[in-house]
Amino acid sequence: MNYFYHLATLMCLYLLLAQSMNMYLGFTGILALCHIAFYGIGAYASALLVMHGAPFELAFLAAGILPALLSILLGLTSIRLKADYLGIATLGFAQIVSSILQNWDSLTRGALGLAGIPKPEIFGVTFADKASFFYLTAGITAVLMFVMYRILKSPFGRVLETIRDDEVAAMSLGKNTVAYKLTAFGIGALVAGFAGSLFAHFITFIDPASFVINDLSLILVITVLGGLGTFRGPFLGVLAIMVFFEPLRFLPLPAEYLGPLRLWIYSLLFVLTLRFVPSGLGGLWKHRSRRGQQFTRY
Amino acid sequence: MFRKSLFTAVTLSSVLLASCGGTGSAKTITLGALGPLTGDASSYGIDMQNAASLAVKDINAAWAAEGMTLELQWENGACNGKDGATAAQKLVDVDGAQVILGGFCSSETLAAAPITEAAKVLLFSPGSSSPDVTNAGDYVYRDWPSDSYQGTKLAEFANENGWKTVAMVSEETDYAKGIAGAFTARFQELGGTVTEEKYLSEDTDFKTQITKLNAGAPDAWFVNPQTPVKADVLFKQMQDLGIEGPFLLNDVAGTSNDLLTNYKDYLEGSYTATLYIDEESEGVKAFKANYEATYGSQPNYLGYDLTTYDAVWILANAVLEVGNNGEAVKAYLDSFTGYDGLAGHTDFDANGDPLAGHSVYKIVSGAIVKQ
Repeated sequence: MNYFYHLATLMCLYLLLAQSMNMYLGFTGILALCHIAFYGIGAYASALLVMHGAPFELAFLAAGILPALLSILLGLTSIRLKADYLGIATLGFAQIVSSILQNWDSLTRGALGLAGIPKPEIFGVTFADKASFFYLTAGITAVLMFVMYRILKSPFGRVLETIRDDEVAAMSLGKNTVAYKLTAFGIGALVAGFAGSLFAHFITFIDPASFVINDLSLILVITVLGGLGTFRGPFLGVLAIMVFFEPLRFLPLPAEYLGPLRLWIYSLLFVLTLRFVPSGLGGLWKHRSRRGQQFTRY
Repeated sequence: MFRKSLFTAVTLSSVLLASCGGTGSAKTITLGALGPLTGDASSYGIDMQNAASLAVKDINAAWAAEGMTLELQWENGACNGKDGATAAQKLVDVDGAQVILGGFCSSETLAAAPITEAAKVLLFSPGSSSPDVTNAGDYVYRDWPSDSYQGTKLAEFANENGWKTVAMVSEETDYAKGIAGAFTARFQELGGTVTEEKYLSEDTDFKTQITKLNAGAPDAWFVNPQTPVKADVLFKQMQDLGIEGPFLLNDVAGTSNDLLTNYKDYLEGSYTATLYIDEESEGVKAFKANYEATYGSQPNYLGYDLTTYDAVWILANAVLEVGNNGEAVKAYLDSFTGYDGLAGHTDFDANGDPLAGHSVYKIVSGAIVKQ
């Protein structure tokens, strides 16, 4: 049963990561590839604060705010770049964050990582076992998903989609598109930071190797497979990846074949999705008439 | 159509789930095993798996008379915390493992430990060297020594030799840091003084640090690099500056055959601490031959392979004697009198770390001699 709670908690975390990435990648059309860095900063910020005696509530908030501020700084300098140029700039940012985590020994303990991160304690209640941690994560996920849903369905959200579809049109309506983009990017980073905090206190051990480009690809597969620019996309993506792939562990195949097999299937799905259903599972469902049409262009 | 196939897929996977929980015969003992089977570290994981399989084969041959067999249920920890924790959770909950061999990477062991600890499952790592593993939990054991051990060992040795001030030149990496921290802490506790100068892995000129340290006229030097290449440069520059020992060397600097040959005279009479593998012993020779016969190549990481082989034997002996139960095996290991295996004599301290991790060796005409 704990195994179920463990997987369900991971699903919530990936849902948060995918939806927050979708916020700017899918809905706003910002091709930024540094989500993993926001996640890592959140995880380290929260773990370090709690390990130095700060209460979890404060650490959790800081874990969101710090990457959000950094994303705005990064955005101010780079968000005007187009498509793949922005992709490369943000990938560079992710690499810088990863080297800082690796080399700032006195703070992050470098390659040794942070071990024994305490379980969260909120108003005197400790969420130590798998079940209670799952309920905590599910609760936070539900709140954040609801907030993101409201944002995306608000007039603000519609402007984001307009920017994605036609930035000039949005500007001609008098919208400050850079400010909108920065806000969407910042919200994405904020939620990724919250997910990082939950991850750190869930696994209780983090090291710089947990936040490298490899892990970005899983978030990206979930987001793309689920459907960029659809709110239900990340739900479907997480379900597809976790519910169909975790049982692969139970196939009567030696573990040394199963690992690579999973990676194969991820990549195959990614390519097939991009080739045949660029709008992902979410798009397949909603827009039957527009099946196969890509919503998000860069 | 899509929904229908979705339904079929879910049903199929649940059937698979149900059919795999089957129970083996009462005489088969299954232990969990956790290692990096994919990713950059998979070369360690595959070697670990090979060595463990050889041990299982030998154990089953020995157990045949009693009609018992041993099995390992492998899970992939991918050398990271997330996968290590998920794999451990699966082994504990779904497979009902009471004893787990692994993780191999320190990240796997450190992330798995809270899970196995809560379930009172014994976790036994043959390869994690992070000093953090020492305090990872009561049910966590390992037969690969912590990096900090050699630091402690050398500090005690230096104190016994009557040295009061040691000049240390140390690289900024996790391995070297572990050793430096442990050495300094123990040596100061014993009343000595350590002056440390650090350098970054990309540095190539250490003359400033060496000169500065030499001004303090230390009783002994501690050379603590991450790689033999850096040790070579350090020795060369120390030699140029006319530094004379005695030297204490970490096991990178003190056991490389090339260095011991190239600096034969310079390093004469220096000391190092290492986990020594006697490659000439009959057991190790037989293991290497057996490995090559089975897998068609020499083991890549002989040291880790031998600790893995020994670990499987220690765990097998334990479950045979006290049953496949985490708490019972912990009690067994706590009152352990030691196991003489391929990697030497293994016994544990109160934290589940190996006692005889490192021994002090003296360098005599280009070879290391146990003290």
